[in-house]
Amino acid sequence: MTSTTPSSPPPPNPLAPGTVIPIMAAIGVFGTLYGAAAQPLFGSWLTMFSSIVIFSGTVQFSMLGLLAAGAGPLAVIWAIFVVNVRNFALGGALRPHLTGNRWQRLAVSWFLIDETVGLALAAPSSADRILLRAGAGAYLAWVVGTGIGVAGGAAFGLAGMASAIFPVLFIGLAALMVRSRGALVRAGMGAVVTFVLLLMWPGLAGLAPVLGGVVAAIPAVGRA
Amino acid sequence: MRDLWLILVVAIVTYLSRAAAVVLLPAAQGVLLQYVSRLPAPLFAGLAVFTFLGERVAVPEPATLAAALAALLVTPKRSLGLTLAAGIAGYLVVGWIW
Repeated sequence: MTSTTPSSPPPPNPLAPGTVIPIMAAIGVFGTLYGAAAQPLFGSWLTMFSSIVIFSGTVQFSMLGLLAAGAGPLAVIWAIFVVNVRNFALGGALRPHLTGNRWQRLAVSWFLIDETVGLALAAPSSADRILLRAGAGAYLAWVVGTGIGVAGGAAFGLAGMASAIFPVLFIGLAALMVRSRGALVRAGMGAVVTFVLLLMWPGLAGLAPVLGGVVAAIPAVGRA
Repeated sequence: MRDLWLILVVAIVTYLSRAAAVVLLPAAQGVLLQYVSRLPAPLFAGLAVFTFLGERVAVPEPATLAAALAALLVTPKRSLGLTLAAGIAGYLVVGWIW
């Protein structure tokens, strides 16, 4: 029998429907927006193909935005490389908790996205299983959402709500990671550093939160 | 045809960055393990700020602001479902009033 103190709530179940379904819904909404936005540029089949083979909202929206602004392929690829740098931080945090062999890790790495890593780190003893199951749900939601968007299902009101869903989602994931006062301080530091970086160098875009996280995790910055 | 190749290259770059992080790179130990275990909370907090402000670093609409504030209010519960519900409720209420 285990005992818990009143100040330490039981750890959340990352695979509970109340946790996974909201994530799938949020990803599905963003997939719909991506499908609606990409269809005029790529056409229906290539838009669907991009969601099937890339499976990253940040990457796909970045690619779309750059192409729409007239950027060339090399600029797009460089920008995507920079955006993907955060996968090293996410994967680095998750790697110690993955128990599968090299081939199993290679397979589940397909599902390594911000949301699934957040869930897996909330219950690190089941990280492989969570990454696989939540990742499969997220992938399904992303592809189906894209299909709805391609088919013309993106309503105007959806765009505004989607812009609010992702910050809320990341606030929730950050809260799941905060298990001590030190972690709370580091989360605050990560937010402040990201904010300052974005103000000073808006061009950093998706790299700013990576730098913010890396700086705030330095022991001398946010003591646990 | 150019778009097809670009999408394929972007897909490969994206997947390689994921695979390298959990397959090619060695598992963190000792001080490095301690460090990477400290990364997620500030990283997700940073992502929240980035998605809140957007790439143009602009003040969001009141409804988006309300969604974020409502989500922050329920974070002590550490429930993702509750956080999302609070955020959406905040968005809808302020969007309806504004």
